[in-house]
Amino acid sequence: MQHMIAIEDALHRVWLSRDAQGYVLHLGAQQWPVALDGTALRVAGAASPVTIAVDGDRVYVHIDGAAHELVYQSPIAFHAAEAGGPAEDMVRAPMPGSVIATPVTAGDSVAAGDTLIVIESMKLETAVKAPRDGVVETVNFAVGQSFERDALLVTLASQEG
Amino acid sequence: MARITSQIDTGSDSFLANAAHNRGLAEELRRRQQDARFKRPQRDLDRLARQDKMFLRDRLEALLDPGTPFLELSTLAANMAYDGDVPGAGQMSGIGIVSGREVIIHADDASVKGGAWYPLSVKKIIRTLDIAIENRLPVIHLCDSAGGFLPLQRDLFADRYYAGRIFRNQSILSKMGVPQLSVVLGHCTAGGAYIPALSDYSVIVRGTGAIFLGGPPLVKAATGEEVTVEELGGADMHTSVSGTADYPAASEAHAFAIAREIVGQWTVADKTGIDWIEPEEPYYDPQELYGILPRDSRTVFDMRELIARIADGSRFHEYQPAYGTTLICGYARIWGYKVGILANNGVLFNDSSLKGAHFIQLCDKNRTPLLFLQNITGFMVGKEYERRGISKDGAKLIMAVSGASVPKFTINCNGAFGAGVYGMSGRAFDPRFMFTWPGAGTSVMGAEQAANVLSDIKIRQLAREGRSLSEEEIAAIREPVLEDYKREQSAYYATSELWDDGILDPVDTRNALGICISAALNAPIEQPHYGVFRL
Repeated sequence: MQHMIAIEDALHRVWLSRDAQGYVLHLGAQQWPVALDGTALRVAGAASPVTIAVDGDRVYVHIDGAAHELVYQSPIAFHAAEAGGPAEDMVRAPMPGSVIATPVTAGDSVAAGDTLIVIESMKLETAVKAPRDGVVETVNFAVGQSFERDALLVTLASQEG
Repeated sequence: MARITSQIDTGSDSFLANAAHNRGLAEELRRRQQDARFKRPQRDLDRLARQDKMFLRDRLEALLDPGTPFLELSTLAANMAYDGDVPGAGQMSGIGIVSGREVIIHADDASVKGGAWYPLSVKKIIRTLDIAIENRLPVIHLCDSAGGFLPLQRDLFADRYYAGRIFRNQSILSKMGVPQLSVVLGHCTAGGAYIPALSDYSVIVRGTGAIFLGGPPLVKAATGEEVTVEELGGADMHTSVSGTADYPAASEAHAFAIAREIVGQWTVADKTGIDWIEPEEPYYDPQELYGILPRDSRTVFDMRELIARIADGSRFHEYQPAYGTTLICGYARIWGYKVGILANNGVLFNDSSLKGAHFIQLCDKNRTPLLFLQNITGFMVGKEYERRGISKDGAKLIMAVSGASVPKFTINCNGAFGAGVYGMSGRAFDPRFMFTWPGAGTSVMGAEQAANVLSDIKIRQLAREGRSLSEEEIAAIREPVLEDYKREQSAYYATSELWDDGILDPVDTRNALGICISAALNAPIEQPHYGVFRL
């Protein structure tokens, strides 16, 4: 599996491997010998001066008179998002408690991570969040109502085709 | 170390005829390997596509580090069994690099009979895990199996080295501290359920992956309960309710991304240090191996010519060059690793056996792995040799081979016949890896001799009944025996039955050995200790 790097919003699959001479750049099915000698990037023998600045998963590369922003994409996050996230439609209570807020109602669109319902349990306030993007189908408890562990709190509209 | 001076005339008629013959054998090997890897009935490929499953070879691409070497083992397992319908025994086994770590991969091939386990599939999985145990190699299981092939269950279920051994080996690996990861890409039913359950880590694909002791039809038959695959053993149930699996994945690609990150967490074990220097390509072209190996395996040739085309720089330090000359012993390097080579240049006599036993102990004390290059027709027989103690000298060689603590590697280059195989680290002597070249035979005696012995017995039996046989009648007895023997001593039969870890194209031998030696050094090497040598 190759690394995924976004350059100006286009995704590229790349990998750097070793061989007897040095490094080989894989881009999809193509390969080139590459080397970084001081400030010169050498690709298949042709050298260009290059300036590189790294900031976490972002790399800024200045080469051939232009600056590019490269963003490393985690393959786990990429493939999870590509498949539309977990298929789970039912959001259940992680522990027994009572409802203290219901910020969404049936029909609302939510994004993964949005708060669906806020519960109080064991002296803690817990925001129960959307496991994926979707539309709320039902909110099964009102503020003040209590429930047992694994109670069905919120249902998202099924994505099954 | 001095370079071997080759005596081969690469322009001679016999060299060219040998080269044509052996290149043909190598091409046939490549074609058969290619077919075993890729050739499938269209309906099986269609079924995979319908199930939204990747083909095994694409799964490997997704799992392995790009641009790194991969050594597939026993590609042609079961090629002469089950009418040839179960390529690779429905399993893939191989050593590769994942997230920078050396691992061994075991994968069910769902494009072959739904990944069902035949008796030879079980043998191949057990061998894969034996390799993991002997070399302390982390294991990645790609699980996608219909379960045991029921019509042959008696040959795969109950015995010591049948299916239970897979789970026993998994448990032993865990006890040794060698990590295992299962990626559940299809169903793991019955015994198969224990593969992910006994792994330290498991990833399961939502929708296609499932783990259960009994599938929905069996549950219905047993208790009347009606249940879907997802409810019974799907990804969400096992990762959120039962805790049988660890990571749910939305797709196979997602599962491999997770798997690669898990492997990336494993601490890389320090390897056992042995003598190593920068590698050097052989001075003589390995392609010339084709011209050296004879067309008829009974034709004698000098094994130094093979060593010159496998060893780094074609350099070889020969030990006792003037004594016991039918067994060549000496030091060389393969991909920079120092090895002690034992290679047959004729039958084993008393002196060659003693030389071999002595050299093995030298290598063991010197922490030098052993490489056996087999071209063996046996120990010398006859009154004179028995009086000199050929059996007890052979026993010394076998004692040394069995007892050596350093890793052993065995290549059957041209022939492995008779008791000499025991002295040359045959399969039973636990070489870490063992390979066969395409033209090399394996049997207790050569086909011609066996046919003669068996027809002689028959002729004498009939003679006692007062009957004599015509030439045609003798041929009618002899020919079928000869045919059976030739078939069953071929490299393809040996590899079909997993008597080796695969057939190698001779020119690939140095690379394969490099990977094998590197893999073997994941395990520590014990101090030398031996049984009693009959002096």
